[in-house]
Amino acid sequence: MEVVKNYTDRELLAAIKSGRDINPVLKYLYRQYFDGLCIYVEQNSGSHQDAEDIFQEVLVSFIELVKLDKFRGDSSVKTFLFSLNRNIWLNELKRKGRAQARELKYEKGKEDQAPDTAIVIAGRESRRQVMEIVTRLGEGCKKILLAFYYENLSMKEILAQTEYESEQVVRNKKYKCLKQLEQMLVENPNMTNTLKTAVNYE
Amino acid sequence: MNDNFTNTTLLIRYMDQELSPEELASMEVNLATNKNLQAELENLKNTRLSISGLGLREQVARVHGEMMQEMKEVSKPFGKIRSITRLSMRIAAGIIVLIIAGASYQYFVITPERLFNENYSTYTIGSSRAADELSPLEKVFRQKDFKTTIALFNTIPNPDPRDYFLAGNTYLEVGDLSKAILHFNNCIATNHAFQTTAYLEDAEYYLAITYLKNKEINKALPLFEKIHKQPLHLYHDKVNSWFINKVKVAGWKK
Repeated sequence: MEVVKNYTDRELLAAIKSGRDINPVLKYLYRQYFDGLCIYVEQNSGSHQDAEDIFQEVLVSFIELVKLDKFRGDSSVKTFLFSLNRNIWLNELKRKGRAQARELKYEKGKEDQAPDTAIVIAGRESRRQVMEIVTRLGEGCKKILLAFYYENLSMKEILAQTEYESEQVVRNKKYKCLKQLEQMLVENPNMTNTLKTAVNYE
Repeated sequence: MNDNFTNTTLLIRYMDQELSPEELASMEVNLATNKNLQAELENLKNTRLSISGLGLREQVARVHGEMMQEMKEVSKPFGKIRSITRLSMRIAAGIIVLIIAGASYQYFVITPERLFNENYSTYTIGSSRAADELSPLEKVFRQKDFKTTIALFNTIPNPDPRDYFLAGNTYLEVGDLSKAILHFNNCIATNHAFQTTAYLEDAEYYLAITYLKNKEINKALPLFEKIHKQPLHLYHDKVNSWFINKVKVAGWKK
């Protein structure tokens, strides 16, 4: 039976930055904040499905911002997540051209998100397109690139999970896939311009 | 292997921190002066960021699926409990409504007269007894000749409990309630005086029911309650709790 872990805000940020598996953190965030954040979207013209999608976006943005050290716990995690949720939903309504977006913005009075946060949120659509491009690379490439750059596995560990003959073959495949992906992204300058800003965070 | 490929491979190894110290020093010199190389490094970093983003997004999506399942399972029992609670409350509310409706109906239909009619049956002398075993008063009473019964009773100088009991029933039959009450009471008093029990329990029941017909609930109720509390009383089966409650309701309406 899975042990349900609770975190203080400080422990939560430390766990995200540690580079260890963030599944327990994500589950904690779901248990703590999912219902509350869903209610906001549903009360502002969103369906339950919209609320679920936005919550996933909130988590992705939150984890990225914490990893980029753009959220250091100046406000509580709860306040920050609610702010992200509101802003991401506002952007989504804008994208859909809903009049409701104007009302929400008026209600909010002024933009309360930090510029860094705004950039991460604004780059969301570009990142989504990039994800689609990565997916087009094929499963073999995707698996190797994710294993190396997201899961931080060594070549030896990746070899054990694949059917390649040697670590060198895996390494060559990784170079080839990365180069191929780079070319695909370069062919979409609008997308990469948005991402450049994000890269500068590092 | 062309230069481009070599450069890209080195850049990737640079980004992944896999270069030897010599290769690293050489690369940093090149990067400082070569703008094309700088641009490609930036593109590669963009690419790496995209891959990390995809990984995070897929991980969140996986956890989302698990959590939606978990939340559904957690809410199920509560939902079931809520449904059961709601159903129970509905049933309870229905029962309360029925009880109130039943009580209201009873309240409006219960009258002393109605209770009397539902519970009164004329006293009869058992047919197993032969005629020659009966007293003259019993004989005329059995024949339901109430006029003769009254006349004959009035000739008896010292009536015994049985005579009083028959007289009480006769007056009850002819509708003279006050005299019926008088003679049932006489039957009981005589028994008490002589420490006997002849027709005592019969007299108690018929006195109570005569009080009921005469709308003297406050006198009928203690007698009915006494009979109800005595399981061996001859008339115990006729006086159950439900009947006692009806008598009380009749008393409230008075």
